[in-house]
Amino acid sequence: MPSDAELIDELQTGKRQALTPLYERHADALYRFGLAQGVAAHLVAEALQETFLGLLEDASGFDARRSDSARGWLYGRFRNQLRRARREPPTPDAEQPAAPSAEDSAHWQRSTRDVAALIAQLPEGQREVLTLITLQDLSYEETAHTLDIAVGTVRSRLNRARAQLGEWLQTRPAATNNPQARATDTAGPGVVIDV
Amino acid sequence: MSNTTSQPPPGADPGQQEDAALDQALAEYRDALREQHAPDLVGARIARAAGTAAPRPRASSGRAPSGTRRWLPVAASLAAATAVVALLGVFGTPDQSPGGEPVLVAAAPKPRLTVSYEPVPMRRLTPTGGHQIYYVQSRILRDERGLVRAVFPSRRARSTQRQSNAYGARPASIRR
Repeated sequence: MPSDAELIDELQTGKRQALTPLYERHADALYRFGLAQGVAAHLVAEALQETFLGLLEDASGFDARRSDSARGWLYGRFRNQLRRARREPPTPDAEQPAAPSAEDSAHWQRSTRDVAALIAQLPEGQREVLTLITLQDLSYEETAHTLDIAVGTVRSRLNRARAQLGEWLQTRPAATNNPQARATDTAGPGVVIDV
Repeated sequence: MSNTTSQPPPGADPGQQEDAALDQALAEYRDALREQHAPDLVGARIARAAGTAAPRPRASSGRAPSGTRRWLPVAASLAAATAVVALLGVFGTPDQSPGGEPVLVAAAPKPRLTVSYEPVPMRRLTPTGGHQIYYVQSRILRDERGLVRAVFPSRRARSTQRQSNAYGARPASIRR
């Protein structure tokens, strides 16, 4: 099985079929990272698509000397696309409340969605660190490399994120169990995911 | 650390209990997140633009490409379609995997397309789980045989679709 570095080399030399194994190797992880940022699934999919299509045009910038895996490098490109997707102007039609599909609901129970909503309310830097380390199993060093920050900064952001989440979880126990409380509580963190 | 639950030891202090509760919540969230899979976007978009069949399920995962269900009406962004058209010009014949299966969807010959603007029925989900049909003015590309090859909803329609499909969502009591 060719390594990421070899596949990216092939892309740079015009062998576009290298895109498929690269996509199948990393797309799921990137997709989940995007979902964990509180971005709507279709925007995550859009950003994912643009990230990989962009590789066909320009796959430069990957430094195989630092790591043979392109995971961190792809995260960086994907983050840029996610930010672009989130910058889209708010829709003019706000009458329709957004609703998950039945399929989404099966996977995303209320308690899980509460946690997702709370994570989405964290500052971006903390949210990314928490997602990469806790949910994506990256090491501190990989996270620091991916986000282009110091390892110490990774640690401090992770601590702050966990502290904030813990505080929110402590102060919102009723909302996770009581649908009525959730439906009427509009002021607390983690209720609205704004895309 | 899938499906792990961290129980604080007996007599643990409140800080330890809070940590355990947080770890538990994050572990549950991570398990739910791992059930989410990226849609087969590259194949889906190329197949759609080429006018071929729906994207094939990925054999490796053994699951249907569920993410493409909402993808079709939503993702007809002009920029993305432009990229696909550029791709189609590049993929002359499909590349073959060792098993002989096409790696990417085969590109059809470039059709000569005509453009028209017509209302197109679309569907959006309602909070009660049903769906609602509405019409949006769209740019439609047809080939020589009159078959629809691509539909580009107006920008307003796309943003409406995104709004109605945004999961994670705000409760019904909240208005922007």
